[in-house]
Amino acid sequence: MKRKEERGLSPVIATVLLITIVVVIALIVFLWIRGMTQEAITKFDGQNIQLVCEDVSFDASYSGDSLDITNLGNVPIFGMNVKEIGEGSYTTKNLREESLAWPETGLNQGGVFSDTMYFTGEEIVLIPVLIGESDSGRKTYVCDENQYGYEILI
Amino acid sequence: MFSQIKHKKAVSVIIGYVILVSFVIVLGIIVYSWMKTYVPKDELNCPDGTSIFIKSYECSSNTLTLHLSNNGKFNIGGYFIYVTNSPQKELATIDISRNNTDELSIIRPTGIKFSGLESGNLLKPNDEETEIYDLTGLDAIYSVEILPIRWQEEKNKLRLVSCKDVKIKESIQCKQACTPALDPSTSGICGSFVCGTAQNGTCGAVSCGTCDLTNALSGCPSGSCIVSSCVNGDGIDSNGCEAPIGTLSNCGSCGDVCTTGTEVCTDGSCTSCNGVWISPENTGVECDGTPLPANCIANCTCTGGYVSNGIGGCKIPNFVNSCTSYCDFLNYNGIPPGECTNSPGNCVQGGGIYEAFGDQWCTGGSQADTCCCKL
Repeated sequence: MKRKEERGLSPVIATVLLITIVVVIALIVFLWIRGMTQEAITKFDGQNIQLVCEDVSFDASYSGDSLDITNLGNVPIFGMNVKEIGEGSYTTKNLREESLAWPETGLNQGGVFSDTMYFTGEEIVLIPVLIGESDSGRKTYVCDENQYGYEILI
Repeated sequence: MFSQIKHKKAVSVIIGYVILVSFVIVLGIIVYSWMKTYVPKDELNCPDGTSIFIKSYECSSNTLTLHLSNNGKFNIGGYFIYVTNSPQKELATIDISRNNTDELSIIRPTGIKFSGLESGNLLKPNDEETEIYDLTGLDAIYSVEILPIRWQEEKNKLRLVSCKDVKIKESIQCKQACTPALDPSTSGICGSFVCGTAQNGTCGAVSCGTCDLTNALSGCPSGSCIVSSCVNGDGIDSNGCEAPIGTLSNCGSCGDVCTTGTEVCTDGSCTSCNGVWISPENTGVECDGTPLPANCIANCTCTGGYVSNGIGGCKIPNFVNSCTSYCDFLNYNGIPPGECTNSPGNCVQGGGIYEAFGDQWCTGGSQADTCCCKL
């Protein structure tokens, strides 16, 4: 009789509280993990841009201070980073900023780029830059240098 | 006890399953939506066996005509076309698609489609197409690159696809005045040639002047003055030769000596004197009366009673008797044969020369001093 009169939360309230706590914790964990993971950039109907880099195909040459690039593939190349590797150092230049000859809309299918550029290092690596969609709008993505870099010995 | 357990409140088994399944489904949706962008898709590309080639080309002053042929297994819709304006360029980057004379076949911003208005893969296997380009305003063309394209359906959309694996490159010669082998900016038109004629690539022969080294042999077969064909006494080529060629001792070249007495150096070669003497004294007058070149002792045919002097000339035969026989030999016109005279005027009047003291048989005594005339 005495136990019957003990006060406590009703099962319903306890359940609601429990679920609320779980949801809040799950939300916190989700936001935390989301902040740690890279924002997905997609191109061509939701394909991750990292995968699109595999489809990029271009030809390039550097002779007589002239850098020539032809887009052979079906992926527009929005920009091109040029990593100039010297002895014990390197610098990276963006052709969109370095050259007025680079098309504003990027190097589309069959597009060509040719401009006089001066590089003093021993080697240059051309790294394609793509543009895609993300939750926060259009974003550029630099393809992996090791996988998709195009090396030219100077 | 049993009654107490029976009345405990709990979720039913069915509801438990529903919640579990729902939880799994929600979790699956979340994972899918997160991972779906990483699902790889087939790369957009032309089918294997797509191929095109340049069967032939013609280039006139401002027109390039390409004869293209589909030598693959699939239809082709068009192509991108680029050219190079320098033989040093590895990659063609000059887009000439806008120069196609068929306006309807030009794709904007770049590219050419076969058969005008229609956007389809109209060039069938083994078909040929002739494309004409107006090259006005363009420099010389050294190579052309063609990248075929096709229209392919992708997710119910017709997409233009570059056939990146079948790009072709051909060297052509178009609007090229010539291809200089020598770099005028660093070596001038003649390059290392200081004389003679240089062949400047396909630009033809270039005159590089004559060799002006002193006494050097004329001619410059390898672009350098030849100084070995003269007497280069000090051994220094750049100051020419110390002795000229064309002389008896260095006629055609250094050490080319003409034979004394029988040869003369003419135009750099030793030739025979070929003289015929009538002068008995062999005083440097050729047999026919013209001056004899230096070094020549002509092998004369002696006439008029003259005999060979043993060294190519002629002489009066040795008379053993007297002035009479000597004069008889001379047989001067106007003076009777064998008749001597002591009057030089007789000879002069007859146009002859008075043979007097010093001539054979005309020595000694008053009578002996008297002699006859000769021509």
